[in-house]
Amino acid sequence: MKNTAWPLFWLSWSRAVDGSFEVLLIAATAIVTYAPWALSEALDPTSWAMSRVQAACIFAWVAAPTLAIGKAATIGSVEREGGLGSFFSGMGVPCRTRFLWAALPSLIISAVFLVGAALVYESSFGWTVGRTLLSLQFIAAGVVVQLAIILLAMGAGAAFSASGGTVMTLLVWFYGLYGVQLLGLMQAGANSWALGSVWVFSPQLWLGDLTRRMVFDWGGMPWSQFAGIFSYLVLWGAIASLGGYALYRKGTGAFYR
Amino acid sequence: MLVVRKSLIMGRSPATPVIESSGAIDFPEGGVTLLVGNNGGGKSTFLQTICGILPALEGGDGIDGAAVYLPEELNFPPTLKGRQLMSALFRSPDSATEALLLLGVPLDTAFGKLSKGNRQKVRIVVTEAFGALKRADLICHDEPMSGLDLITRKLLAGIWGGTREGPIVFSKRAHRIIAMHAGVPPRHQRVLVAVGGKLRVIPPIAICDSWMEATVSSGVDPKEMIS
Repeated sequence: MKNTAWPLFWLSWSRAVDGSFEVLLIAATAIVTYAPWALSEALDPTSWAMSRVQAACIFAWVAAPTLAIGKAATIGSVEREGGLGSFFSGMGVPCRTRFLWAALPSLIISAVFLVGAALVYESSFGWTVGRTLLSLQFIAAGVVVQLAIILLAMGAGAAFSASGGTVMTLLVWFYGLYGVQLLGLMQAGANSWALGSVWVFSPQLWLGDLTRRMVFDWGGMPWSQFAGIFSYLVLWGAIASLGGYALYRKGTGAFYR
Repeated sequence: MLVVRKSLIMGRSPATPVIESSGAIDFPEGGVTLLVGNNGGGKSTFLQTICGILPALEGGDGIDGAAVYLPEELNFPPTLKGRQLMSALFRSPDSATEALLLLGVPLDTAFGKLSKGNRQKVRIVVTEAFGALKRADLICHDEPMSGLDLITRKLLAGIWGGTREGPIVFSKRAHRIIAMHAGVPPRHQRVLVAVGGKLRVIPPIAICDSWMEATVSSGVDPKEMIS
């Protein structure tokens, strides 16, 4: 027998990669390759590169996470309703192991698009040390944030339902990426204590999205600045992951293991 | 051999215990125990407790042995075909695949497109194969006959009861608990009856084509079940 958790990984993999992942990958490749052609021919090659990178980053931070969140919530839901949780629990696979191994395929989906976006960036602008540094920062921040949101989605899927878990997690995701920035602007304009408090405790996920730095080719972020952002994202990720785990335990009835 | 050394109190929460057993129970190698009882009587709770999925409310430290549990509902990814599923689950999938063939499961049909009975056969084979590979002392099947045709029920009853040779992937050393309501029972050593919050042990019965008959055979007042 393979490692006891491997079968769970493969079962989750076949649910995660069931055609929609491949379609998204083909769509991303086509759009990133041909999107610049839609621009005016008068535009210079730098604009072409920027549009390619932006398209790739949108796939990495919007399309792929949306798909991965949906898949993770479905897998979590199946663990509860489909009996896989009980089955593998009975096989002696501990709850935390099931949680992580079942989430891994969704993380791979996200990671493929993050790495793809970084490769598009480097191939479009040309290789330099600064660009490689930014690529690595882009992937690291993306993986930390997206792993946490995927774990949260899986827990929510297990505790509620596939659709409920997907919607709830997508709300957190898009609020953290865009809503919180809007709230920041509102708070700055209104100078409201209440809005400020909400903003402070909101998930600042947009910090991990280095799309702008890549599109405008600003190069790697200074390490001290990146370390601060990365630490915040790790802390937020830990809280979200623990929340996801608690929901998963509750949903799959893992009282014991 | 799996042994339950103490009396058990079982349920999902201490406030609402579902069922209790009194005294020790052992499950000797290669045998079969039939588990019958009314809906909500605690059959699944008992199976999940002795398989370590649910903690016993009392007496859980007295369970000694390894078990594998087939839940009533176990859904594999609907797009996976029988052959692919076995390859995903097992490093050497040949014997499990052969068992599927023996039971008449089409190997090139996606799990989601199999009939109810064929899906159930896949679940049984997967559970048996894991039980054999894990060298489980106990393999628990929660209503395995549900959805199966008569020929397959007889075939499985024969294999589990030891009256006919089974696929190599079916463990010979494991004891099996078969929870069922009605159907063709395998040859068994005893019957566990889950009724009225108690788990009673009764000797093997000649005819068990429904849980009602077993319950009556155990001497339990049927009114108790109705209430």
